[in-house]
Amino acid sequence: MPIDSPRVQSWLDRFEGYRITVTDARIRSWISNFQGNDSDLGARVLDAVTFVRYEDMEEALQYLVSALPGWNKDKTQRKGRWRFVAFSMSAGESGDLLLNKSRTALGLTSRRFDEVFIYKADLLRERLGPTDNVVFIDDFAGTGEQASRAWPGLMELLPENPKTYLLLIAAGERAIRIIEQETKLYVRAKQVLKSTDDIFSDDCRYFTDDEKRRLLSYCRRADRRYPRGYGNCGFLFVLANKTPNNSIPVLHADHRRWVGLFPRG
Amino acid sequence: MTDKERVIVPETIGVKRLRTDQLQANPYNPRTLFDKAPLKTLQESIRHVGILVPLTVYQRGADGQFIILDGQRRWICAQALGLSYVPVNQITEPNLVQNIVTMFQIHKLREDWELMPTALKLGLLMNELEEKADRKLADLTGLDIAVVIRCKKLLSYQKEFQELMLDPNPDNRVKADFFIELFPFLHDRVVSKLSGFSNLKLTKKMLEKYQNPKGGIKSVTDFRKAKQYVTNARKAGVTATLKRRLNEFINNTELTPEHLLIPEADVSAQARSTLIIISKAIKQLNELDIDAFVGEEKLWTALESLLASIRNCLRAAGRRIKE
Repeated sequence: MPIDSPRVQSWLDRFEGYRITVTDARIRSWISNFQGNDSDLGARVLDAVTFVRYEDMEEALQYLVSALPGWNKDKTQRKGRWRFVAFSMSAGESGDLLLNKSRTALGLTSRRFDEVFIYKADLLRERLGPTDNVVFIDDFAGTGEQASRAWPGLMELLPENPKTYLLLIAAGERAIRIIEQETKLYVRAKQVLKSTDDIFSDDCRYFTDDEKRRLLSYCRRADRRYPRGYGNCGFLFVLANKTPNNSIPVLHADHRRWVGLFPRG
Repeated sequence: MTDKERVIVPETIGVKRLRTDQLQANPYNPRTLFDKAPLKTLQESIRHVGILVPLTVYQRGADGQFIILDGQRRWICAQALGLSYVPVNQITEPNLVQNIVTMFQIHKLREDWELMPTALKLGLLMNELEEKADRKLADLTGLDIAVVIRCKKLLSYQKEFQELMLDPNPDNRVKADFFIELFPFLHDRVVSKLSGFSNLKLTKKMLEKYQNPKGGIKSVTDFRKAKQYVTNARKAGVTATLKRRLNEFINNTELTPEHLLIPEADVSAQARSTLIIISKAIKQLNELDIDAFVGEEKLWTALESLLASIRNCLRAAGRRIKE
């Protein structure tokens, strides 16, 4: 399939809204990372990228929150107290901003919901008990390491043992398993990335073994330390606000030896 | 037992044995990380002689769980050794104040990078007891008074900055040290009254200077320099120049604290000469034949006085004094 204007336009349409605007020139510059016939391999990588726009994230959050057992917009219908908290910040965002975005996404901007959206620093003071619920909101979990490592610290802020959820736009299957094993967080993810989403795994049939080998050599050029993405996840997943570092580095690495299309910095 | 003691000491129910898997770590415990080496030593000891000192536990009313108030390391070792039962000393469920105070007294120290959760607990305690005095809080919690002061500094920041210190992602987390070092600069009498800059705006600007790779604040200790230059300029009476430079320093991300160094207020020459004197004194003291001078009472009294002066200087400069 040629890399012609309609194909480039389809990428431009799909990747619209990334924090660093994806332009025709930047796509062509990125494709030029791949030598000779391998430009087709690069193009196929772009074809396979899952791109999540801001509006998709809002929809995902709405869906996830509506499915929480016991939650209701109407306070009188809720089971226990509910608190929503930003889990971690994205680049260039304050916790404040993330929390406000979540509020807007959930249609809970009215002042009567002020008490529902709180800071992590408020959790201890709130003294939430076993019948209460804390909903942490984050965008992505690749390996689950971060949430697991952070859990002892978070637990300190929740001494009275409330039920805790972690809502994610997307998460690796392995990450969900690890988080639920090592913490008391119930993970709810709109999209679950499986072994077929790891482009280097045998379960992924989108690329041939030869293509995987060639792609890995480009990934090594992009990032010698984590050529398959952090945690060897091998994902082709991009969120409009940031590309997870678990995605393969040819997408997000950006330095003198590699031009990135979705830089994280 | 006085009324105050009754408030902070839970009552004993008795010693018994509980199944190891019935116990749960205390989430108010300020210590979440345990070094492997001492744990291994304790584990060996428990393997040979068992748990000699019962763990202190209480049963949480809300869900019936047994919570460890003291003995988390022994419990970790018991789990590792596969012990089915552990001896416990059960006490009545402590109230919030009792729980936090006990936890503070058991675990007096923690690393500064995780100081924010401690600060939040101290804040809760301050509210519950309506107690704000540093010394009383230090006595109550067993925390060093310097730690209490640092925690109170952290509590003075807006929630959005506290959130930065609690971020689960280490890449996003801002160390408590940044805010502790920034505090004296932020609260300087000239800086805090600078028109057009609220405390919130100033903090954000300083954070930007620190986080931006090209920013003028390379290390959190740069705020000490900034504070020194501001104080000296104020003392030298060059306030108008200082205010202009402060505005430039705050608004231009790349300007370093040296921008606040006004020649008329420069004390670096004096600092250099003081340093020479101190270096000579250190050398002379290190070479002192103690036995030959042991009867020189005036010398030892002067040294004691010097030590007190050094401590006072370090304390006033907000330095940590290691015993």
